[in-house]
Amino acid sequence: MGAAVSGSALVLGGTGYVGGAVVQALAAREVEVVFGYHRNQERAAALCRETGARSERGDLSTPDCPAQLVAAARDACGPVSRLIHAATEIGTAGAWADEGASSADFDRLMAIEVRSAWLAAEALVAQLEPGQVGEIILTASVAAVHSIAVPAPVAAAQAARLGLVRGLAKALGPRGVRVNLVVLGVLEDGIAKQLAAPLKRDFLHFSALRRPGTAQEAADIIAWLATENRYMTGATMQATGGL
Amino acid sequence: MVTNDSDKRLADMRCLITGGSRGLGRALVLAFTRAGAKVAYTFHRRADEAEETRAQAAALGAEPLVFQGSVADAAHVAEVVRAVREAWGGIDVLVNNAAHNQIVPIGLLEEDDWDYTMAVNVKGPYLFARACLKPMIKARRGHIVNIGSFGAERAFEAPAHYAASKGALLGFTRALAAEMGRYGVQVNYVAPGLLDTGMGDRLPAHRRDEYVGQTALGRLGSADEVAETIAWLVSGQHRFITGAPLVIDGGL
Repeated sequence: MGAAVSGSALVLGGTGYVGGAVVQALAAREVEVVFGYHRNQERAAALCRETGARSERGDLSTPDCPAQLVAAARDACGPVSRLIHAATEIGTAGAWADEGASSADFDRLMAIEVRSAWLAAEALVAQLEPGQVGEIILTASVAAVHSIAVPAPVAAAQAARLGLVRGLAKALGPRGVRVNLVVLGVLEDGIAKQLAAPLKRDFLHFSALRRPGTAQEAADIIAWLATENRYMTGATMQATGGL
Repeated sequence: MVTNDSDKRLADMRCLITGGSRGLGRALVLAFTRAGAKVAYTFHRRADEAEETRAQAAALGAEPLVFQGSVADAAHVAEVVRAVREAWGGIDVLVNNAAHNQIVPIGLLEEDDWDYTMAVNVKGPYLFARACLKPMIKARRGHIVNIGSFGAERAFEAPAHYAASKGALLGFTRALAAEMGRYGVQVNYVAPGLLDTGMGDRLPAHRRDEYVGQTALGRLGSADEVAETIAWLVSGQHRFITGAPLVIDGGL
């Protein structure tokens, strides 16, 4: 039987709606946590005070940032065995649908949502001790697995995260690193707040549970994967309320 | 603190598991028992194996309810659910684990083989779910897990009738989840890969090695690993996963 992972965690997007709850959930499980954030210094400071986690500021759209965050987390806590990538550019790209987007917007979206996840995973694996088990978890929206009315670049980025998870799982499995995707449905806050009201109503109407999820529900699922998973890799866990 | 079985995440939950005499079914009985659940299980033919499961559960301090019969027999299903409700007042979790499989090429597959496989693997879960839903709807909570197979998920050399039955079970899961969500009942589908028990244990070594070589983790899964994942899934420690297939195959 495989071993559950132990060791510290790096949460990317730690000041986001889901990322912040993941930091809290892992800290509650006595996991040492370092989280990355970009803009919200006030929220980062509050989260550190509340949970005892450490924070590192960085812009994941830059190629060096993911490895720098992993190195900072290692310096603070020793080898990092868990990586949770909940950072998203969707929340700052409200203009995608209405105004159109430039190729630079597209590149930035892909850099944050896809490239940074790949680079962070590579950096995580490079600093693991021999024989140390690793756990990598990415989040994605429902657009990763279903055809929904979101801007095409956003859907492409989510689907790319699904492909990345599958590819990384195959590549890193032999080294004892598991990689999984948590697909999140409509939540009470976070990027779901940007959904047009009719679309949000449709989502909830067609979901089995007929209610939005909470950050806590998402975080509990991610925390379970980060602390207890032993055989699941390359898998997609759909926390969508039955969409 | 990291949670584990000793945290009794299923404390006092009333759980019914079909096909509990061996393999994943036995692992489920034991994992649920360790997690504090009251467990009932069914078996069809292997009384000796069912007794072994009971003995192992007893060693953990449990007194499981045990029933013999076919999951495709509506009278048996009704009696099991009636007896469990009478004993415990309700049912919180149903795991439709019982399944029939036979390795036979499609050209030699008889119509009776097809019908029997569908009866056990699809009709059985329908009968048990239907019987359990009434108390779950009344309680406005409950969790049904249907055990599927990687054979329905991937293009793999699985017996056609078996793969078809598990595909049907996934469709059943999704529709049932959509219908039952409004009552607070979650319905999910767990598809394990080959495990170190059951089919994984019976395959010729070269086939098993070929399979393992295709997995990212390079090994078969253990029934305990899958059972403990399911114990978490039904524990109520999350409420937002429903109608979802969960593949646990080590990265096939």
